[in-house]
Amino acid sequence: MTGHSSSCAEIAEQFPRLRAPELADLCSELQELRERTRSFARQELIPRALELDRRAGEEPGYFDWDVVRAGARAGMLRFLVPAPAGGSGGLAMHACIMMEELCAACAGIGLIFGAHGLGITPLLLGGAAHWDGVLAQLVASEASERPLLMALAITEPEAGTDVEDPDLLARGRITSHARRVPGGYRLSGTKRFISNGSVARWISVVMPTDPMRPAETETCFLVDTRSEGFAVSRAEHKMGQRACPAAELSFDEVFVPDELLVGREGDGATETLIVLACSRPPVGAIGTGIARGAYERLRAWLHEDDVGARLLERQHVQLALAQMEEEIHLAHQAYMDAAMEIDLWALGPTMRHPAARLLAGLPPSFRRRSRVRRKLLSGTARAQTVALLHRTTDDRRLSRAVGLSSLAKARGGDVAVRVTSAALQIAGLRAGPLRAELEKLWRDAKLVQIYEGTNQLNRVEVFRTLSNEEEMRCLPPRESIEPARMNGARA
Amino acid sequence: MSTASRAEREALRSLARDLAERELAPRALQLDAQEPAALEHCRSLLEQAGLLRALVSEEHGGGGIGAGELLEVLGELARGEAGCALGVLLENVAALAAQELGCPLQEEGFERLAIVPGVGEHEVSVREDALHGRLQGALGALGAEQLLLLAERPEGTALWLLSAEQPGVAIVADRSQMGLRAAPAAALELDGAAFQELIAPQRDHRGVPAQALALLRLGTGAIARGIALRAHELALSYAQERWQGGVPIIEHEAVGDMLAAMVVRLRAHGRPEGLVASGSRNGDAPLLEPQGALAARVALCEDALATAIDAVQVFGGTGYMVETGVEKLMRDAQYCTLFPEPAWQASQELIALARSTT
Repeated sequence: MTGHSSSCAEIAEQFPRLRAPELADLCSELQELRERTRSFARQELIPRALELDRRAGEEPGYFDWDVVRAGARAGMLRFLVPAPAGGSGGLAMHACIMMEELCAACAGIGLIFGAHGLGITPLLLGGAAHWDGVLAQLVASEASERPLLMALAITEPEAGTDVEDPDLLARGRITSHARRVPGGYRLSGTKRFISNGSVARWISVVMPTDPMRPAETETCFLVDTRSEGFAVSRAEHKMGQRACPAAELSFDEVFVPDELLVGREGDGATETLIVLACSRPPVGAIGTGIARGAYERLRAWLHEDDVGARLLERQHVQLALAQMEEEIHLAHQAYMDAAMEIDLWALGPTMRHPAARLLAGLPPSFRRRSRVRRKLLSGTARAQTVALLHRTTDDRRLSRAVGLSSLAKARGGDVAVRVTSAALQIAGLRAGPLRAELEKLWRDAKLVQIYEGTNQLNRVEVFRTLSNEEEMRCLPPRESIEPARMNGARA
Repeated sequence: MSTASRAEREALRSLARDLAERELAPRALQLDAQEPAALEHCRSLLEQAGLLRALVSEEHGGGGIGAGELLEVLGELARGEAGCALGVLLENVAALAAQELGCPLQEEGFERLAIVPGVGEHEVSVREDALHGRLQGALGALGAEQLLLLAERPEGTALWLLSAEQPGVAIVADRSQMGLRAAPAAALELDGAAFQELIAPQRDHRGVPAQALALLRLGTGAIARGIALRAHELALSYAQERWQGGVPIIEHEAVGDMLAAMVVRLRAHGRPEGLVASGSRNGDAPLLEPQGALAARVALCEDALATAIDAVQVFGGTGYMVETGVEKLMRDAQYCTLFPEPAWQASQELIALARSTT
């Protein structure tokens, strides 16, 4: 079992391959990130949270670009962008710490940055191909009036849980379709509940090239939302996490050129599995943050308000607070365990491999030369990225990461709902402004049990990978389903 | 107060069910948004049906039904829209208490009543024969002409009557109210407000304040049960229509287990109307046993919340969206667990009641 601690000593014990200087750097980097994000959240998110929630409740789709600009200034948009592309080069641990801090202040605003990171994650699996394209653009846009946001579109009207599990996917009702055309693909279909979908400039979209065989042909594409045929068909009216708009997206023969294929054609299902393994610990952190936000607000009220002070004398309230502390602590440990598994064990060796380091060390000006760029986008380079994954990790390690990630996600969601509900019970209807804040957190909490796969689906994954020790097929196959296309002359 | 015949009870239930299905449920989203036209329309229909004064005796212009029948009506109404059901409960309990204490119910200025339970000393105090303080989250208080406050004092519970339209009283809409929004909440700001003490503080569990509180609790339980029934209906129907993994989701045991748990919760508790004793207090008024009412309210409300949360889970992302009406059930159910007091405070009072009877 992975230990329940994130101290340097325990990380060192569990991951002996990580050298001491790297470990010290990592720990101080994470601590600095936590403090910086907390300060940003207190300054920029808390004052906006209730008003944004109210406004977006009355006007679904309403979006506050000011908070995005503030986030961009604080480095919240570049946290997952690899360092060679100008970003911070964070991974799951960084994302988790950021999400907990942001969501302790406002889960809706936190989700804007989380959904942005989710949209970026598939590009990380695509190797260096996108460093000098979209990812560099994202970083460059941070200082602009309208920074570029990303999103990930997987869910369809008839397929929610189905698209998040390879077994269910094979039997799912997938209606979207990516059709091969000269020079690229034409995408058609509808995607639902897409966080940031109505405000993102770039969306990572997963669609099958053969809807009758979705498990074998799911493919990830990078879609420019200014493309002809793309439309936001509906702004969803959500119960909570409203500051981050969710949308239904319509694709009508949207053209995506070959160079905006993410990874290889047909690798979408395994890519989705790895992306979800990376994104579920941060979702657990969202739940932990929401719970912590409720706990901290309640505790402050109990100490500062006359009514609260009387309640604090009651043993029931004292025990309830102790239980909240316990739940939050364990949820935090669960997501840190999962994130460490990914960063240091399941995908860490890939990132630290000499080949990856070599590539990262190339000067950007060299990488951007057209001949080099063509090579990086070629089918051969994509195949080499897959080969590197096969050399540095395996299905056993990734399956364990999937299991721990699902565990952290389900735990975080449940803790969020339980703690916010318990806090609301202690405060009661008479608590005034505190009640409004706790109610928002409780509404926000429920979504954590639903998105990124329902908690039920995630527990099925926990059973398969941890209880039953199954090895899921997480790695893309060594051979592409259509090697001739991407390895051929057109690439 | 008469006890209705079986046929009369069934007719009353049908009336409530019909109102809920035809008028309240289709307007649930507008009521939740507190659209004035929808609120007025539904209140007017409930008034025309005689449901707002159903408990008041016929001689005082009411319907003269018993508490058991009212609880059945509330359960039916809550399946359509729980906030409206709470409004019916609040007006009935206020009117019944006012009638029993000799208030001129049929006079002008007594058309809209509300009752506010659990008014603590730290919130509202009496100085120089007037009320001072601020009381937040008073459900159903917005728009009321007369307010009955159940004031908790060290010597027991008192009942105070307060006119909303008088100097020293400000009723401020509570815009952040999350649940049961068709019974709009308000904050009462009292600054030297004159009031009439209808009953001095007392501990008699057969007295008007205790009985009013017991009826509020049992009524809230009946509303919660209505919410749970609706949540179960919607979830069961959706689980048979929605396919994932090549089968209807009801065939996935993870979903089936949640639906089964809903049935267990719904069946585990008797109907709240079964707790209305046949004994009488002042001639023919019903007698509610405080401990039973409190226990039923805690159990029914907590079960309704668990059921509504699971219903949203069965719906997945769809259930989280406002237009499906499922997430509203969750918000309404949470408010039931908080009214007239949070469930944990109710549990503490249960212990106190148990100790006082042994």
